[in-house]
Amino acid sequence: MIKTMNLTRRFGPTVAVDGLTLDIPSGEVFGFLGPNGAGKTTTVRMLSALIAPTDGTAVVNGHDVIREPMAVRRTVGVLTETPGMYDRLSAEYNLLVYARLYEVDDPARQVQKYLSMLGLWERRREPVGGFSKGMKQKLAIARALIHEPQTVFLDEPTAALDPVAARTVREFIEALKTEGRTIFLTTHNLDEAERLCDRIGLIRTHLIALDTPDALRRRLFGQHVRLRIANVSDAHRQTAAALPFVQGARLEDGVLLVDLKDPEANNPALIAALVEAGARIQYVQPVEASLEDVYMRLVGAAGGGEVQA
Amino acid sequence: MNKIITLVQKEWADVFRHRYVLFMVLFMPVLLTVIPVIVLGLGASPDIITGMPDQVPPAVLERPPYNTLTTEEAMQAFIGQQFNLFFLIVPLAIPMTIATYSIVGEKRERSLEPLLATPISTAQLLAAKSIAAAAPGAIGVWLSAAIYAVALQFIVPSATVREILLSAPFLVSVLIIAPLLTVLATTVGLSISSRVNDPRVAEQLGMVVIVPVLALIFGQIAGVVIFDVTVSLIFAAILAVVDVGLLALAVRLFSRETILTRWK
Ligand SMILES: Nc1ncnc2c1ncn2[C@@H]1O[C@H](COP(=O)(O)OP(=O)(O)O)[C@@H](O)[C@H]1O
Ligand SMILES: [Mg+2]
Repeated sequence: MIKTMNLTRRFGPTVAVDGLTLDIPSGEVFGFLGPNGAGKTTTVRMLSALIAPTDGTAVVNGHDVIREPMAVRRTVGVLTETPGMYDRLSAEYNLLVYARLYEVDDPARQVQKYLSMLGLWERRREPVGGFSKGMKQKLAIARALIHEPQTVFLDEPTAALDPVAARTVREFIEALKTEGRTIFLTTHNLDEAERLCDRIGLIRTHLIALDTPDALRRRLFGQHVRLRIANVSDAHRQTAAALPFVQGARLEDGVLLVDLKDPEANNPALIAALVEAGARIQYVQPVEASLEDVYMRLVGAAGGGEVQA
Repeated sequence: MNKIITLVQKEWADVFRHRYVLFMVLFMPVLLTVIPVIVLGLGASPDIITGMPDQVPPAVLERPPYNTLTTEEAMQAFIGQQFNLFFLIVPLAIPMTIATYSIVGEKRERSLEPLLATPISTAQLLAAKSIAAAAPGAIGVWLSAAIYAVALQFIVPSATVREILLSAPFLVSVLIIAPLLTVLATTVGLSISSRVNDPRVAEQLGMVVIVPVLALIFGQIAGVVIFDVTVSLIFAAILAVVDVGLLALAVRLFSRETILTRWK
């Protein structure tokens, strides 16, 4: 459970996160999506009681991050942006240190559980430095889970990985979804957010949008309408463009594309006007925007800049 | 407390995998024990001594109990007293090496952030890092000093000279000054390596802490300072004050916020 209230963090003159208000129920997989420098890591650090907010606060698993940071840290697990394993130490020892620091009841058993889950039990005595990036990353996720936290923060879990390693890490995260933990996943990968998350928050210093992947897509879904007109001509385009609710109209490969504010409300009037102008309409299709379109549009509208998909 | 032990064990498991660190920690105490024992042992033979009796400053020779000694005995006592101070390099060098490799290592592997995400206090983290660096320094100097003290029984024939060498100033330096020096070296090492990204560079910068000890050694060789009980206690008191100041600085440096946002 995560609840943030006007959560804000400044670094000198830089505002990294501004007035973030979120409510994430237990068991939700929440995607925090934004381009580089959007404030994702800063948010994760505040929510895991690593750095303090400069304004506002957050309650994580029932504990206030400012007043009860120790309690917060006890109940959350964090996969930091870089795995930060001790390369010279063995996989087993790396996990064991953390199991002890988190004061788990039976450190050895917990370590065995996760090493087996990752298929690393046989290689437990090898130094982590020799593992592949994907393996290290999974090990780092296991380390974040070693004390069975209610809430897990995964900061860009696949960003530094090649596609194959990224996939195995993603599958590992998908397996975690079934365990009922709250997962807060930051990413700048849309596909990943859409595949893994129940809801997505788009951030660029401010929270730009917050919804399910479907609903986010639907926001732009149908905002373009595609009309196939048997006797299409530029006169039809002009008719459509003249309507007050139409934001733009163009002909593309003999198909009329119309931009509408609210297709469901405006389509009847649009169609009536076109029919009146003599158009023989064959099909009316909504144009489905991809989540990427939504992202580009929302993030772009909030101030341009680097966007990676 | 358990968490501190866990962290100290982790530190040692990690840092001693650096051959250089392991070498320093083993080599330093051995070197600084073997050299005095050999030199004093050789010095016990008159042939060597007669070549350089005038190296003992006259001012020292006039003082009791030096004025009761033969030239050979005075020489042995004088050389021995310099070696007594050389031991103090151990509690500086070992903690400095461990502290810098430990912190720079964590910074390079970016392992501090996940560590700080665990329910440990930064005081526990600082304590663990300090103990991991300081304890081998203290153990090193104590072992060396113990072996040296035993060896003196065999290589120094004069009871008066043994008394001079193993008297109160020696005990003060080994039992009080050496631990204070480990704290000095540790805090300086931790602080410097929070800013520097090469352990060798951090270590070299940090070794400025050796200056006060060298000042004592050269002061004594020149006959300017005599490391007697008073001087040793004053030295210890100054060190204690400096240590407290440096610890306060280290505590400030070891806040989560500072480590995550300022350590580069
Ligand atoms: N320790 C810091 N000192 C100064 N500025 C910082 C610090 N950490 C982050 N920032 C700034 O805050 C903004 C958000 O950074 P971050 O949270 O790392 O973004 P993201 O994780 O989304 O890429 C950036 O402009 C970054 O430069
Ligand atoms: Mg980030």
